[in-house]
Amino acid sequence: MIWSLYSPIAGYSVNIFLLLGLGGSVGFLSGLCGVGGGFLMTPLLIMAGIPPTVAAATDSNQIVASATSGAYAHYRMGSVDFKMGLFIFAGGLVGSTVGVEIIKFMREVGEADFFIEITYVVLLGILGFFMMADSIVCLIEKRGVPGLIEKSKKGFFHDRLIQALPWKMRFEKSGVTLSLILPVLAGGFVGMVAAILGVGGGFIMLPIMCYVLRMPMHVVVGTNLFQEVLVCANITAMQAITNHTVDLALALILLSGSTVGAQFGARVAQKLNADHLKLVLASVVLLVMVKILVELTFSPDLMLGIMGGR
Amino acid sequence: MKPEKRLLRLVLCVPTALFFLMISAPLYATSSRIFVKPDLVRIGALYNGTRVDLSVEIPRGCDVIVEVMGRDIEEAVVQKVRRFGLWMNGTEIVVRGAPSLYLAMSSEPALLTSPSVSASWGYEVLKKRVSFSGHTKETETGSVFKEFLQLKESLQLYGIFPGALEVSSFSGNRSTVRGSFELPSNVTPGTYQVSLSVIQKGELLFREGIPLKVVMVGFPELVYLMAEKHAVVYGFLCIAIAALAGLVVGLVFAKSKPHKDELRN
Repeated sequence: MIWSLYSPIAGYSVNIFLLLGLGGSVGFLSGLCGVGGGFLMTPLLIMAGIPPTVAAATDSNQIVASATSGAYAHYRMGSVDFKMGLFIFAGGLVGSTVGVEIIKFMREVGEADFFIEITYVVLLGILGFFMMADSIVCLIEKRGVPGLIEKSKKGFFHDRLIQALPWKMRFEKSGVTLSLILPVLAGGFVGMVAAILGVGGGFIMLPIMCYVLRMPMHVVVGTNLFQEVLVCANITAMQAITNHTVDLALALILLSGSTVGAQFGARVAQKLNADHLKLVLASVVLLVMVKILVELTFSPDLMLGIMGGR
Repeated sequence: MKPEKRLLRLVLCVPTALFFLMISAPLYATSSRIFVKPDLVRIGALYNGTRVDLSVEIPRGCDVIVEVMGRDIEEAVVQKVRRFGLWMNGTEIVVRGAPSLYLAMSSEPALLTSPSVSASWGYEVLKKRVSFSGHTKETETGSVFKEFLQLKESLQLYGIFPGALEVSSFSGNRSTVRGSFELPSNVTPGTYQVSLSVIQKGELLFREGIPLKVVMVGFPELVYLMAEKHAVVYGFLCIAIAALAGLVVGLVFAKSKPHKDELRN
């Protein structure tokens, strides 16, 4: 079939329209809801037949494009805290390197694919549940039950813990003073998960920036996208050098769909109800999670698999 | 030259010519050349598997089997096990002697569906060649081989196609056999052997083969070579291209839509 793209790293052909559609719709959803979208792209690529290790590494590469596009838009609006972003990246550099090594080890013992899939089930499950709960709470609150979210955001112990940590620094753009340890630790954790899953990590980083680093909402998205560019660039380099699993041919088609889709998504988002959008995204996330879980739970069609993926 | 000598030469030459004719006739009858089209498969950017047509002339009344075989490889497979209610990779098994690709098709379906014990084709022959080592018991070899075949067939790398070859025309004591096979999209570059077995009354009459080359060309070849041989350069190139593409799209959309600061002014 002429409209198939041959992926030389996966050694497999995928329909070009399917890839463009995946890139475009995930980019649209991410632009619509303000998240990276990598956590959806990798499992969808796996469902399209791409081996999980190639899907995860290639997705990191295409996130560099979509995050650059988004970060540039936020930079023009003056909503990127570069100083905070660099500290998060410093942690992310170590975390993502550790993540790539974990995947390398898992490939050697033949459990990389399972490890990626089960990590997805856990993270998508948690994320989908909280997103759905959050959007339902917001919708209820708008119908006359005020104070529900404010109560949950209170955290005196958390505030005291943050104040007790050493090496404090002022982050002017975000308007917060906090210990350097926090952004570095947050970056390290998210970087590690991002490397394992082939995601930008925005869906974990955004709540951490809001609730742990106490950054204001208008700076959170731009700063997150900026650090995603750096972390995913590092992951792409590491995956290419260590595991040889980055497929440029695949990434090019995906990024051409996702970068354009994200821009349209961002425009549509301005005209739609944010809580309803969040509910839609939560449903998509939970559906993907259930699909992966079903595949892991029910008896497989094949009782043998190729070691380390296809 | 004397007439007696001329006669003697003629008497000697005629039997000699007849003798050579006699020995060359069976040779002609038992030789067949297989033609494949294309004889070189190129894996380009839009490759999604390819159909290879084949034709061969065989002695009339014979049946034929065509096998497409890759080189023997050693590969590790894992057996799925259920732990904590989830299916995950468990026991590792090393497979030796299995070809990377095995496709077999026949003119007579029974040759592949119920081959004779002495048959030198089909899955039964592979079963004798392939060995499994690692965490597998001798008694499990049969079931592991069956699972291995299922895995390879799901990847379209193995396949048996009884009756897929058609005896299409006859001329004299020869008949033409035509058929085709699909090389899957996940076939690895290399040289494959297309073997022809001509069978008469269940017995192998003769066997011939030709090579079929599969090569990666163009953009996939460039990407593959860069990724494998210049990984550092390739990694940074991937990052640079992605960042540039993101920036270009950002610029294009920024131009088409004024941002907040511009709106304020």
